[in-house]
Amino acid sequence: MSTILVVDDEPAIRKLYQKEFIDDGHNVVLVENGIKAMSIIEQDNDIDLVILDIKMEEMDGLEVLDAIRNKRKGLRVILNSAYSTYKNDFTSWLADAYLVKSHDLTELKDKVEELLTV
Amino acid sequence: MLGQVFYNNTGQNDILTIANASVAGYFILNGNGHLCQSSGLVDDIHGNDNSMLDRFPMIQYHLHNPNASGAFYRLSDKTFLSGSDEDQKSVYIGSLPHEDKLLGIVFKGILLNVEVEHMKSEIFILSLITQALRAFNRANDLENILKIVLIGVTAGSGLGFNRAFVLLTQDEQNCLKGALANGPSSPEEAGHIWQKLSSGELTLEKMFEESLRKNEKEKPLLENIIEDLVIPLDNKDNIFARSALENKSMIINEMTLAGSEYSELHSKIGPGPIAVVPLVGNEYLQGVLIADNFITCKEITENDLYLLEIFAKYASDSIEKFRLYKRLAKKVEALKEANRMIISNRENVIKAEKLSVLADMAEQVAHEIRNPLTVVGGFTKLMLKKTTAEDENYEDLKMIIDQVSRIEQALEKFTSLMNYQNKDDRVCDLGELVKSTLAMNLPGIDFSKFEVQYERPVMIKIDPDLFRQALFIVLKRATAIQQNQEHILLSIERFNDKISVNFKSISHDSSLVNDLYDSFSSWQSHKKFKELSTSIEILKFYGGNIGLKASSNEESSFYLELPVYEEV
Repeated sequence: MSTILVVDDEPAIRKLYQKEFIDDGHNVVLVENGIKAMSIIEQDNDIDLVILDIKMEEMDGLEVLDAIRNKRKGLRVILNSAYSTYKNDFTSWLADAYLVKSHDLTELKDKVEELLTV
Repeated sequence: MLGQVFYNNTGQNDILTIANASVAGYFILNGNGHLCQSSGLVDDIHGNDNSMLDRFPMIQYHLHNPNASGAFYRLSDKTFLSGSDEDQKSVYIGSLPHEDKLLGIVFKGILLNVEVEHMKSEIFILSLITQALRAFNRANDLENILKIVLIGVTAGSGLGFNRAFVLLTQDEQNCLKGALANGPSSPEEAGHIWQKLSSGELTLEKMFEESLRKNEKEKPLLENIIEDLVIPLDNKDNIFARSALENKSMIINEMTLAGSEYSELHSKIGPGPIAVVPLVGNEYLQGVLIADNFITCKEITENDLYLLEIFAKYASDSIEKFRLYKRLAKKVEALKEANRMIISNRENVIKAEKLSVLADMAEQVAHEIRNPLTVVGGFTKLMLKKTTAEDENYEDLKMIIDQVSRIEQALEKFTSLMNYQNKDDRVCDLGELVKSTLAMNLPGIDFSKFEVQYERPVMIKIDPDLFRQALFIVLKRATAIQQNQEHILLSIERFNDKISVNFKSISHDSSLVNDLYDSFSSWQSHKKFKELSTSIEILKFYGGNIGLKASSNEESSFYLELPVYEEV
């Protein structure tokens, strides 16, 4: 069973993802900002994949991604934002995938499965 | 006094000297033709007025045309003057300035005759030049100017050579290239042309006029012979190159021409001798003029060469002026085009800035809508999963999901950064496109800082203005980063089906490349990132990208990449 860390400042999104991924048989850890996310990643080696929002207060998703690459290079990260322009940010290229948020979670779930099986 | 009068009439110092040295006598007639004064050999006819008109019938002309210029006349055999009859004599007759009188000066000996002949040549060449210059002024292209030159050299009423060839310098190559020729290519053709000419009364002026009017599509055979002829100017041993470079006219005899070095020319134009005269304008070498008497085999004299040289000087000036004018016109055209591009690019930049602000707003709006939409749609889908098709809510839930999808699709279109509906894609050489962008000297770009390097043209298919816009943004950023004097190399390299513009520091300093790369990160500056994002959007739209790469020598470069266009 894999553990997925969902980092998003929207409580409804966190809840939705939690339900979907638990239904798919994963453990889900939820945090609302980048600082908390980094503290979990640094303490918990069981995190297998991070679903990371970009636009967040205090520490945004790209900064978190940069920090993850410094601390845990191999950790799978999916950037998941309501913005599409961050695709052109070179830092975003450090992520394993960049997906724009959608009500249809098929693509996100497929990508999660793909990355977890690599 | 005599010398003074003569000087005033002709305005030439050298003639004054001749008059003082060779005068045999003079006479002055009043407005009715009566002799007022005489001296020297003319003294013995004093008092016999009628005999003056018998001996000098041209006096009648000058009496009736008091404003006509003075002229030299050769005295006929029956003219009687004291002294030895064997002496050849000439007479100058012209009006005395400010007086209603005629002046006659009799010159003796061969000296005067030679000078008269010499003057005749000069009058002839001046007349030829005057007519040619008039025609040059009416010519509207270089070919017409060259035609007039060639007619002047070959016409019987011109310099009378059988054939003439013009070889011109080339703009970017250090050589002379065959441009135009005139004359028959064989004795048969010569006979045909000359027979045609003898049947009509063609003056030089008429011939010039006709050549300007005619627009012959068919090239004369002779022209075909020399059109591929190329004479390099870097070989100083080559007699033609020497003539051109040293500005020296010469007659080249058959023996020299038959040498192996000139075998191509010799085989094309046939046996010599030939006269070669450089065409040098006021400032630059324009080419060489070659003339010969291939058909009649008439000897080319030093005097022929001298006249050809004088004519060539005027022809060169006209050729030079015309070529300078053409170059200038080309530059004006290029400037106009550059100006058009600057205006269009500025408009595009303004448009892009406006679009960028709009896109920013659109993104904010999209973000605010997308999140709740994801939640609404996502939870509805979860509910739908737990509902069977028989459930009364099933269709309603499906409808909610469909509507959420519609809104998401609309958002996708709404947030699209660029509107490419009006794009104008063309096939262009990437190197030229980069060079022309730099040449636009756009604000914020220090164009002198950039060096463009590329080997051969590689074509891409893109809207040139959109590409310039993408490149402009990166060039502006690079200019801002590289504040020191150091140059930035823009090397254009092809790798398989991609072509890239690589930004490198000439001193291999990696900070330029790293700083450029960092510019594409939003944490540096959101505003700059949005601007650079436009570059990526444009390149990605055309299947290209922007990135960082390391070469085999571990030197990194920042690149803009596009797919190569290859015609199917």
